[in-house]
Amino acid sequence: MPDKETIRSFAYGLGAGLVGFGPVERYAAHGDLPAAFHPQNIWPQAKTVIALSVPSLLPTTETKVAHLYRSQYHNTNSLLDEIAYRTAAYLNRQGCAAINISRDGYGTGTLQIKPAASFSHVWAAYYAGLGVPGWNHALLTPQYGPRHRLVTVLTALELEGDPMVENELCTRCGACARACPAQSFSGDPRAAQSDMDRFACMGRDRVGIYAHCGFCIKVCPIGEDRVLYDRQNTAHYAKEAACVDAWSLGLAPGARRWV
Amino acid sequence: MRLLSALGIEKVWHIPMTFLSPEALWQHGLSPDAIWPGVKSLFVLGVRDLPVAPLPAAKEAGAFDVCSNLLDTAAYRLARHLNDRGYPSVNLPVDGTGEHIHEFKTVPVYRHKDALDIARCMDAQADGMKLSTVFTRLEGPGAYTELRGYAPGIHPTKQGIEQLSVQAGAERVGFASVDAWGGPVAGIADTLHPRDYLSDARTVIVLAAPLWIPITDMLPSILGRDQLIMADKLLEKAAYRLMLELSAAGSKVVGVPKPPLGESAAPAAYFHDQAGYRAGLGRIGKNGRLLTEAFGPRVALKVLLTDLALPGDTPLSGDECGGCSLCAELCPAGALKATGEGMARDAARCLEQRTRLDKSFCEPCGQCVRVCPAGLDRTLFAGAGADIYRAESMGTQGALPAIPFAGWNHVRSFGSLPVEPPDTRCRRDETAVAAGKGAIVDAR
Repeated sequence: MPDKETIRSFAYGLGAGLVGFGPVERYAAHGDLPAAFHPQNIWPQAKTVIALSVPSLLPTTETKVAHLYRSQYHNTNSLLDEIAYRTAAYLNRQGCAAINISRDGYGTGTLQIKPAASFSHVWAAYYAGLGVPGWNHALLTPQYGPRHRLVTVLTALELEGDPMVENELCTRCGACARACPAQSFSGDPRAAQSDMDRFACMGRDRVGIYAHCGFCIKVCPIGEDRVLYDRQNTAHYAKEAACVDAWSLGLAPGARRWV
Repeated sequence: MRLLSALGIEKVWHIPMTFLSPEALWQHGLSPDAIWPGVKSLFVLGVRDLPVAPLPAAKEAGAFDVCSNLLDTAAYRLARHLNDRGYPSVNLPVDGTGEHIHEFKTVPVYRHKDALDIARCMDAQADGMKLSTVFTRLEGPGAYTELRGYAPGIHPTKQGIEQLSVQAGAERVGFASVDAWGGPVAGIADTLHPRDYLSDARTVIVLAAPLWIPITDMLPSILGRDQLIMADKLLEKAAYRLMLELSAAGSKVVGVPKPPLGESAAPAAYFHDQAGYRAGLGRIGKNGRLLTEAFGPRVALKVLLTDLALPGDTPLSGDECGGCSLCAELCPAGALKATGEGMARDAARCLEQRTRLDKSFCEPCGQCVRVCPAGLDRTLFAGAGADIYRAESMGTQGALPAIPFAGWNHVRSFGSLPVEPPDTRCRRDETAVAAGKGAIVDAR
């Protein structure tokens, strides 16, 4: 039976940035989601969730809503599915039943009418110790803040859970809410999460070059990637909002640096 | 370099910014600093752009260009590799123009070849290649490296092809000589010959990647659809890697395209399965599909043809299905019918059902693959069996425990739309089903 470190290094070798393990019992113990969304209901053999994350590189993410980010989005999507599928294949070859849940699950054709998925990679990654959901509903990680993308492998193998991130990472600064071009976020700023209008979010998301909007992850001040790229000052993001509507008319170049 | 080589990159140029004069940069309209400041050097990665047919199933998941995907993935991983070592880096995608922006703006934000042109790069040729770039704050003297695995004229061996395919993500690899074609397999006539695709083909290479039962059990659903698309993409990438290696050695090599949905009734629809049988990967079942020992019919397949002569594998003898015809019994379209000489397949009905699912964004149907009891994966994924599938199909699951139906229905209720009711011209013959004979009567 492969142990956690073997599985972890296998996934790193395929390109995973963060890998975490969470026993499925954590779903019921924390009670954040209705039982229908627990892995055991989706696949009765499931004992452990393996959360896998790859980063959205900050300079590319900063070019949102331009093409460079779109391209990175598609590229990380295919990498995520490849890592998860091959990790599941590896476990199955070792005789440990495993399946990968594809990274999206919204369905391209139905996104605007049904902006929800049957399985949440965010909560899986929370229970697997990668980070904590922030006010913007994205998983904040110490390494990348919300600038990363997630996928999950479920396995029948019982593995010890990684410690969960106990302290809040979100500072409730409200930058995500102010930057959102669709005003999707509202509610009590002290609450764990905002009330998010998914229809507003998705409606905006699919218009022209707005696809894969993601302002709420771009402007988030959390994450060590800001140190690496020397982008700790996030004040300049606020200036952009003013010209956003001009871009949607096609006046935007393929990419821009925002200063 | 080892990382890039393992990811299929053929050429790498490392160009310090000092090689690029400001005047030349200005003339080319090239300004790395305008995209991301502080760039010290560029890595330009190259892979030959070989002709491949597009993947029909990937139409909605963004255009999938296998060569660009290979390059973008490698460039992204190189950027992260450098980040992890403390050199901030970022990759620029192969196509920097932007699909939505084409209408308004035809100038890409960045042209990968410009840097090579300005640096007059080490006399290395990038003709016929696609390129991708990594901007980094790593400094260096500059270098040009060729990473190709084989020298021209030194042809890869069967073992080498197997190793590369498995390293690139294929689970099984089989080989067949084109001489194995001719004559029907399991009642399905050979209407296509490998030489219809490549006139001097000598060897057929078949790659297989498994689909997991718990996910095929959720068909029709977006997760089931995604799983097939991702397995197809993985095989496309593995096949592209093989094409690069074989063509570098001077062999001709082409991939057999998967027929789009509208042509799923065409002769090409069974070509992949038949090739898999001839390459020793499994037997042909009553559903017309390749039944592998490990995964039954739950595999995605990719077929390559080459003029390189390689020893073929031996097809498996015997019959996998025996008395079972669960696929025909449970086909929602009544497209499979037991006849005296085996199974008659009504491709038009199959297509009708799949088109209906496609409108609801949850194509493929896959019932004949989903319910098949063949395959060792049935032991690994303990769970659903014939009784469960029958109960679901007959609408009598109320008599059985809610698991696994609850999970399947939960998944199906997201990401796709309710499926239109089936064509009532097909009806189930309940007496025949009760007698265990299966099947659906054509009331047309």
